[in-house]
Amino acid sequence: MKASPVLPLIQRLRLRENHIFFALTIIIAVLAGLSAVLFTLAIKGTTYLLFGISPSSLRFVLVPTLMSLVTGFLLVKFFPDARGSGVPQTEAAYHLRQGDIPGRVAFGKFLTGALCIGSGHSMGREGPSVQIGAGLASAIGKWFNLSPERAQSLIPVAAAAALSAAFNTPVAAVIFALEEIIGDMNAALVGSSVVASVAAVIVARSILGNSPVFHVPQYHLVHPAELIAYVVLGVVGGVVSLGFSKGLLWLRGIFKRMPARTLMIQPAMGGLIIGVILIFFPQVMGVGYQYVNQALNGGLLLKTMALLCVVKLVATIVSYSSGNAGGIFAPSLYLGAMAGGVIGTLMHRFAPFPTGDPGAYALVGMGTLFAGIIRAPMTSVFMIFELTQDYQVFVPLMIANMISFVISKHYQPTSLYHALLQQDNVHLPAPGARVPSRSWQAADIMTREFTMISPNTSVAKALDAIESSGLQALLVGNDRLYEGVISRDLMEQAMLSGKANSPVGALMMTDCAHAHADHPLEVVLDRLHKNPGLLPVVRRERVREVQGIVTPQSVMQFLQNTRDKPTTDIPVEKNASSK
Amino acid sequence: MEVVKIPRILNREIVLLVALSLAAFGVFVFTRHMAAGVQQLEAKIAAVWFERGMQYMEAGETEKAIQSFRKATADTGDNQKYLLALAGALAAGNDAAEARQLLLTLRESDPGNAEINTQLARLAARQGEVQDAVHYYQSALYSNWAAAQADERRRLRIEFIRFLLAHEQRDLATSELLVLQGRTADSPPAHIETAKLFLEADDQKHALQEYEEALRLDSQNEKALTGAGQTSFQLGDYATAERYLRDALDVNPDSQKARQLLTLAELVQSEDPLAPRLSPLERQRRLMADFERSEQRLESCLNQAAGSTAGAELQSLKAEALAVQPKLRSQTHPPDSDAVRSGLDLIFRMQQAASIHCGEPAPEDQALLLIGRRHNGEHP
Repeated sequence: MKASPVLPLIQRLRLRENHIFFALTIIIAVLAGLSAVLFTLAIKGTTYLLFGISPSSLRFVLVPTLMSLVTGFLLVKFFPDARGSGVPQTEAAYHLRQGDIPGRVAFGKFLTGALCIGSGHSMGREGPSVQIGAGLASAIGKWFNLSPERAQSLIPVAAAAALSAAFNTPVAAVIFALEEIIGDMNAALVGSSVVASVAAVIVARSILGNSPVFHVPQYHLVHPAELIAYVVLGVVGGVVSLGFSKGLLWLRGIFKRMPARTLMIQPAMGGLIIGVILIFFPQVMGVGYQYVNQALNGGLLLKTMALLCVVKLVATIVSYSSGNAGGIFAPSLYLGAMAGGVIGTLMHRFAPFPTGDPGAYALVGMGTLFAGIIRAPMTSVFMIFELTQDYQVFVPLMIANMISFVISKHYQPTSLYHALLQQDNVHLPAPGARVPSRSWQAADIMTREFTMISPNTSVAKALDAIESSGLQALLVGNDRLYEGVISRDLMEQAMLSGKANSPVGALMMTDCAHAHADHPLEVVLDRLHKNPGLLPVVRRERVREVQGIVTPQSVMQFLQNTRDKPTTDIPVEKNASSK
Repeated sequence: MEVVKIPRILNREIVLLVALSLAAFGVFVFTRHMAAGVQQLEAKIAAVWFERGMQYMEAGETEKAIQSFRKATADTGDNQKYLLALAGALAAGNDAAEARQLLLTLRESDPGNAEINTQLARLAARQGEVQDAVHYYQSALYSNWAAAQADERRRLRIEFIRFLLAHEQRDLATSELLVLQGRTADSPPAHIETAKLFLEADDQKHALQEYEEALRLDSQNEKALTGAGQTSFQLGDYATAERYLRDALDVNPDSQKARQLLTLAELVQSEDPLAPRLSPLERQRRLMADFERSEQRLESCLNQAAGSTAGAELQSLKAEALAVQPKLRSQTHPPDSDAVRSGLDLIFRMQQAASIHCGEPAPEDQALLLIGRRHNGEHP
């Protein structure tokens, strides 16, 4: 029987994964862009609905408090992954779960984000937009049964698209995806990210028009000595960034240490504080870009800008730390504009050389705080450049940004997004370790079978256990969740001092080093050397969960077993990140 | 039989891609609809704040107006009307720096906008920045105006001319006045207003033209008649002035100004010894009459100013008058033209000195001063 003439056509339509990926890049970009626009509209609509035109003081207090009760319930019961910004969660999904974001996260983030920001919390919309876009991309990747690598690749593509649509800066969005989400400026996803970013911004502009987020004044470097003023701005930006990061982590730590039963009302506690703040400073409500615009165009007095800088800093720390859904992208720009405006005004009044308009300093200040808080200096430079479209801004911007970045990094080595993840017991791989490694990794060396004793075990019983294991130390904990390590020496000392019946939980070391499955051999050996003969290998996304242990014996055994095998033959554990 | 198997998964992908594309289109349409709704809502709220701002402005509560306009512009940042209102309120609230910044930002996107340039010009004028004000006024005046805005443009030009005159920019003011003259509406009040501006710019000839244009349209217009009379008077054309002033008094017999000027114009014409078509005897009679009147005024003034520093100057003039008197009184040799001129010069100096030291002159003395000025070339 002769084959049907339609069949060759159908065969030609057979899609290879490359084609699917390219088509998906565009469709996901469009959807991510649309979701970002819808999210912006939802925030505005919610704000108008809840506050009306000129709200009373009572309404200022009640709206954020009551709405935070609602979102608190939703966040605890249905969308626990939707708290906070969304950028660190997206990073974690990209690096640790091969881009897997549960479908409900995108919906939950949209709903709770719109309610939180719309009800007056001092938070930004860009971070949530990134997570919503990434969540959509992950869900679509699953529908298409894409390979894990391809599905993972859709995450930064969607992030670039969402940010591009939310902030109307397509170049900065691509750089943000590379610099922050992927952590590698040379990533192979540059092309896809650019296509996605452009597609998303076209969609956003076709709906909202081509007006920029900010009406930026013409930038002028009036006198070369003005660069000194930008050095001052960089220092101030670094200090404010540091204050913001430290304050946020400190207060969030306090909230996290509160009893678990308070988790549902914690956002409302933040909401109440925000409500009181809004009575006196309604300017810190929500995203607040209209006031950034005013600072950029010389519309705010020195005193007002200084006050708003402090109050916005406090309000954002409270909103974020109490577990509401919203980002810190916009607040960092707000703080930068105010801090820059203050420095600019002071320079304008007191500098012994001619200076530019305070609005120019506010503009550079935005990039400076962004570099200090978000720690994405390249994104900050390109973002401000895209806003101004003026090459003159580059040199002062880079000076101020780098100073702020260096100060912030020196006193707070871990970036804020990563530190927030660490507070949630998630450890992302260091930027250098994100490049796929062909060397031996902890996953290759570790022993998956290990003994873990309960913290209530007596020293005498623990000593028996260690004798039978032949190790120099034991893990202490329950259900593969370790709490510490107890060494043979410690147990023997306890026995000698008559503490045979004491629980090991009272003696164990809790500040031991750990490794992750993707750590290279040299890191494993270095950390093993610091520990008492045992190095726990834990999950990055749940750092108390032990995957295996590395001991001197296991290292020796591994080397013996593999000395004749080529490096590339060594299998890497499937569920550990290959990066 | 050859059976070609098509992997089902691939068909599913095509279907999914098509479905996703359709879904994306649906979401796009929905988002556009939502965006339009939110933008309408924003526009409505902005309009409410704008109205409140205008009410505050009318009530003189500038700070509240600024706050309202700020809220109006918060979500409709590109609404020029609201931004201009904000700029106006800021300027009224003595926040000139922000108002200027705002206006300059607006001007960047629309350099030829008359309203923006007008506000910038007024701001600069208020700050005493003459060059900037001139620049913005000119930008405003020479930008595109709708035909319906002709009157508005004319008023702005008048405002600019007044500004120029107030800042001693007479040449520029005259240039603008000539443009204004070419575009003045054909109505008596418009011509009269233009004529007054010409007078302020010391351009009596063009002022008279404008008054005459007004009279062409309304020959009984009292303001135009008085203005034309006054202008003719200033030009030294006392006969024409007398004619216009008489007509003005016919229209309004109570006009003191017209009456005073008419009296003076008549006196000048009746006392001037160098008036054309006079017989030698009449010329001498007038000269002697003027001389004696001036001598008497000088004498009276000398009595008032006795012992003061002015006395010496007046004495010197009296001595000069006494020396000239016999020559002027000679019946056999009526004075020639040069003698009349030198006599008039002495009369003028006597009247001038008396006016300086002994107060306001009477109309007759004023007429003698005007005659003196007329023949000393002080009038055009």
